[in-house]
Amino acid sequence: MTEGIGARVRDLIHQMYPGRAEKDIAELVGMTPDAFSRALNGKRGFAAVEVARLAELLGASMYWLATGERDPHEPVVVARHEFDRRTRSRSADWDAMKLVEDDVHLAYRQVNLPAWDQRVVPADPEEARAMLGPGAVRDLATRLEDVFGIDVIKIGGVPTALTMILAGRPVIVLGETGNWFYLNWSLAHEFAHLALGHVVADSHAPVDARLVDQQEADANAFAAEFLLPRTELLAIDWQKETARSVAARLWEWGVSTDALRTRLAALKCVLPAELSAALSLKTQTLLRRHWDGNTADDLITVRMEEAAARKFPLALRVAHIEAIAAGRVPKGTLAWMLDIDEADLEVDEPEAEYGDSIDVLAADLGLEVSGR
Amino acid sequence: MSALFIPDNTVLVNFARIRRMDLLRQLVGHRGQWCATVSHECDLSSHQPGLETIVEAHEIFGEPLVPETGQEHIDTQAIRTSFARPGEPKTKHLGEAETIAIILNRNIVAAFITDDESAARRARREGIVTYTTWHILKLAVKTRLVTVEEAWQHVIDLEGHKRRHPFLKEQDLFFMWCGE
Repeated sequence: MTEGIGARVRDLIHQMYPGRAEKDIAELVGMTPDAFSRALNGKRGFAAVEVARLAELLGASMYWLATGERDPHEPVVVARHEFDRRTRSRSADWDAMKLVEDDVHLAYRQVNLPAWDQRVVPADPEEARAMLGPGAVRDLATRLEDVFGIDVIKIGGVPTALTMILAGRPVIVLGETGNWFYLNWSLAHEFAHLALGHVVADSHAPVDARLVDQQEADANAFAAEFLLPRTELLAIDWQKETARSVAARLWEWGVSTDALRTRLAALKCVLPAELSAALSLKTQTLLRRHWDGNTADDLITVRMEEAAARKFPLALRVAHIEAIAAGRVPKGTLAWMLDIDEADLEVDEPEAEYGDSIDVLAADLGLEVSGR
Repeated sequence: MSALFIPDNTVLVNFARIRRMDLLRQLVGHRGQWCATVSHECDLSSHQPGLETIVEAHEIFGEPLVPETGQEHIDTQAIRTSFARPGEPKTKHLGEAETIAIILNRNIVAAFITDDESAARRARREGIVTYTTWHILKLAVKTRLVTVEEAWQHVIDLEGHKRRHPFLKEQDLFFMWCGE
């Protein structure tokens, strides 16, 4: 019997619901008081669905409830946060984030991707920029994958960026947004957490707010230097800059007016009034009014669409295609990654092979078969 | 070799929907068995209109098998992972996964009856023989518990003809398949 599960469940109940009657907990997880009591005492096993409901109620993993050991497949969280500039606090819709984390985790667990090859990621933003090469910010996600082997995912419903180690691979998860400048900042910030070695060893442990604050500050400093290098900004004579020239720079750097304004203030660069006014505009407003590079093709809209597109690493998609063809996973996860209906996904699955003839099943069941 | 007849809830729902739990009872006899999570799912299904008779499964399949070891629970989770889809609740597919895990861990000789193709595919990869609701209807025809015309009506009622199985696409094909 699974008496170990019963003991762990009982311990957690005492920790989380002290004084609460066991029959109340039984009701919450859809068990009768008698069955729950017997299960807690090791006289009856727990059904899988009961363990799943208890895990959710008690905030524990099913693996831990079943074994008392940490799930070796559990994601290692590197950073998970959202900085709200208005309230100057981190906030996040944790439940929504957990759903995204679970879905992404599922996609990695269903296939066997090689673990990360531990490529060196420099903690120096300038060195990282040099390794990524010129123009990296135009397609930063792909460049991070190619150069450092960091998987980057863009998907809807993500309230905050998330970086974790899944199946031994560093994975950055970002929300879909048409604002490429926010995307670039988020990506640079998450990349910084990896480059600076920030890892939350135990995601269930209480948050050390001071440590998190320090890591956030360090990641922001890295992102600022990575996207807007100090030496490059200080080499510019800002008094001679115009709304038009700054618009061109913003386009090239892939950052927002807000980010540039904040960075220049931090570097104590004094701006002429016209420039201050320009940088108080929304990024797209400034670009559409003052950037002269927006051709008839509307490059701004093109860049928006690129930023908003769902993205999963090619290696992950290919692994799923192979696993589907081999009959190891259903098509649903790949369809989700591609944001299409499963029925529309044309990847061949093996033909179904059912059991022996019905006559054999009939014989097994002691039934007599006759012709039609 | 004699085998146990172990269903998942998709099959029970189908027989309850056509109000032929009696067919399952006659076909299964004393060789039925089921697992605890499927039993839970069955009880949940019984609250849906038209599925009230599904509770007869308790008499047909008896006391459910319950995972007894941590390993059976771990295997259940791993098996569920292999055929889950993003966005699904964590309890989805647990009945099928638990059934496969218990069959494997206890070396039970069983025919697993499921209409969840992903679960069936996983079970077959593990060497477990699988059948569907449609195979059980065919068995009912071959054992003269229903006529082939009645069985076809059940296929229509369950919208089996809209599924991918070629032998369900048309009445003639179904009749031919039942005669094989």
